[in-house]
Amino acid sequence: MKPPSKIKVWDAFVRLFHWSLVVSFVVAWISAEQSDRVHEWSGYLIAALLITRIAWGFVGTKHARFSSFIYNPVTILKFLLDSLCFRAKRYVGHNPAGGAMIIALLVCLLVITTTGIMMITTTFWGIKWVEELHEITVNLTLGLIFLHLAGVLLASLEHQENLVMSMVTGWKRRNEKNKKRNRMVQKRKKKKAQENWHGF
Amino acid sequence: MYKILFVVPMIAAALSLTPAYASGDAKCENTSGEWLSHEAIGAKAAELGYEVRKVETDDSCYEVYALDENGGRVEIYMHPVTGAVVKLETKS
Ligand code: HEM
Repeated sequence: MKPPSKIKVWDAFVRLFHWSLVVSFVVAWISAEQSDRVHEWSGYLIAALLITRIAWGFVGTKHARFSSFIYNPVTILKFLLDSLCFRAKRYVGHNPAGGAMIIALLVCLLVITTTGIMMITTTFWGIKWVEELHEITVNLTLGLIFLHLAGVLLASLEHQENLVMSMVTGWKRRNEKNKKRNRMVQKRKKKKAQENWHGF
Repeated sequence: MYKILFVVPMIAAALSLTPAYASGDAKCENTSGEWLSHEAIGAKAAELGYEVRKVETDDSCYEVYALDENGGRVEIYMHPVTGAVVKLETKS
């Protein structure tokens, strides 16, 4: 048994998805100008990963669901400001900025894979705008990935935890506040149980 | 423990900065340094029966994206001065 101060946040699918995506994205990037076959297959793999991840965002575990990490723009901006001032709240799941980043990455990757597949159909073969959209979105995504890594680093330092390791193991430290509340809930349950017992 | 937090972004940054290579190993010898126009090359490919989609330069050659008579996707590498087909790549 794990000590109760830790909590499982990322399920096996999310972790497998993440690191497979990282590897296939790097392979696709490197193979772009070297090998059509490798580039196309890594692209198909990314498309398959995206589709399953999006489905998992609706039916998956708690912290994998879109509903758990989509925040309104004001919350996201406030969170970013707090982060830069090193006073942001700690979230056990994705924080508001992280959630927005995930949506941005997923949308960009969808555009990249869609235009990529279009480029090898006879209809869109050699059509300039498709290729340009593909390349521009790739460059945009590289910028997002840089910000993604910067965000992970900043949040890790701010809350003294290794978020990268959490994406490997799935475990995170429980939130202090939650710990206290959990203890209170536990106590209340115990009391209620006792009361019920006396009531017999 | 925090080392990984620094090392991993470094590697990612290094990877993203590696230059992309130009593809197509076709070579076109051209001592004059002159090039036919894109239109002229496109017309030559059309004459050969291709449906031309795009004309680009690739290192020393012209690279024409086109469909062949069967509607198959092809990349035709053509000489910038003579317009001769140097290499034909048929995509499956
Ligand atoms: C080696 C480089 C990378 C590291 C160390 C890394 C690290 C992480 C971490 C720690 C998280 C969880 C964030 C949180 O705690 O809220 C995360 C989530 C995520 N990352 Fe990365 N990442 C890397 C590269 C990438 C790349 C290249 C992409 C996209 C192509 C990407 C896309 C995502 C996505 C979509 C999520 C959300 C995961 C989910 O909930 O399914 N990451 N990453």
